[in-house]
Amino acid sequence: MSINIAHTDTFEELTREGFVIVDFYSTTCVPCKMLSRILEDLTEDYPFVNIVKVNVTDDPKLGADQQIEAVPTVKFMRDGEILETVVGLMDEDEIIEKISEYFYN
Amino acid sequence: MIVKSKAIRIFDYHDIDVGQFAEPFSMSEEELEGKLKKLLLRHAETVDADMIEADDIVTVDTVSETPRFNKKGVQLKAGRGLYSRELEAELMGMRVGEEKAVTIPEGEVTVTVISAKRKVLPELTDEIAASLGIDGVNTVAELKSHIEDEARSQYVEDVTEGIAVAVSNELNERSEFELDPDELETVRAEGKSMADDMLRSSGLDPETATDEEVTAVAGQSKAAHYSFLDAISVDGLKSAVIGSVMMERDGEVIQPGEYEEAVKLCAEGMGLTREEAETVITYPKFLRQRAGNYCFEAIVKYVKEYLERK
Repeated sequence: MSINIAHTDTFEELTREGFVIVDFYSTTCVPCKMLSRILEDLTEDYPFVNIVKVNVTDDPKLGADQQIEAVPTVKFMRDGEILETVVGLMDEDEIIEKISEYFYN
Repeated sequence: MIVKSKAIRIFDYHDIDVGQFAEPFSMSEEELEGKLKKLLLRHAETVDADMIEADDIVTVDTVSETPRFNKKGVQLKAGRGLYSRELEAELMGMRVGEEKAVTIPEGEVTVTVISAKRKVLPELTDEIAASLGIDGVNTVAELKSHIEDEARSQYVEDVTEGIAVAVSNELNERSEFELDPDELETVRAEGKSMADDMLRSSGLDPETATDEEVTAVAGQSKAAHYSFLDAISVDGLKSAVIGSVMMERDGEVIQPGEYEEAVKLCAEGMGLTREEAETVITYPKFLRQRAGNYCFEAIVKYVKEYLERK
């Protein structure tokens, strides 16, 4: 798995193919940091799942474009389409459940 | 004057026992081993696996009448069960190129192993510990100590804010205020507006939403939802009162351009024009938030110092 940082000009390119977990976070949000660590751990376990991170503090326009009202927000996407949006901190098991549900279907 | 409301008596937050809100930090051997393993995984060598074992990264082709199991190039971590617990159990011991017909609850599946990769962890020695490139770490013992220190710092970072909120609430409870009626009415209206917005963002009409609907999205009854946000708003005003006293005591002044910056951030964050943002974050509201934050930051510092000492 790879973790890519998306900006307004790269977001579409990074999310248009295959299954992607998109993590919208802000610089100072503590739950965002916890989620970030969970995703980093998952990269070691599931190297074939792609993760894209968007810092809405640095890139508020992209956050607004993606209708992010609170952080962390996680979007599960396939081929550029949103499968599910979860607002708030997710634990590792919840994310694994979503991978199982969406990655293979 | 930052706020019109006054404090009659401010309790000293240094006298609030942080320990009542904080679980002591601890790390089990199992957690330490898990973190060591994750660290070593980043330095693991990936090799072709001869025969599939648990945790190998495997690519398979599957043929089945069930769409989920009729795919080419499916990647999975063997034995974790994210694809199919039953099918992954059947993969154990298979070799690259091998084909097998298996029966799983979803139906018949023919699976062919395309590739199998395994991460081989290096044996943990002083040499490996030193090669990880962590400042001050040259031995296994130092690495373990470093991991514990990191986990402790992480724990402090994770729990500080929540504990600071609890200390702040107690500080408000133990202090006495003379709240200005107009200011109180304003913050209560803001609290109601916030509660309304939360329901609207969940697709509910605040006027007609039933208790059941509100409970489903907010986890509490409609009355409790409004009461909770009303209490938060009133507490915010109390924190602003304490914060304004602290600012005056410390000679903290609001710098030119601070309000404009807050409006700009609000506009960018919510996709509003500057004029619209000025109605969301009015100047009196900015002053209350600024003072409340000053108070909260002081409490965060106090809590953090306490946790680091422990």
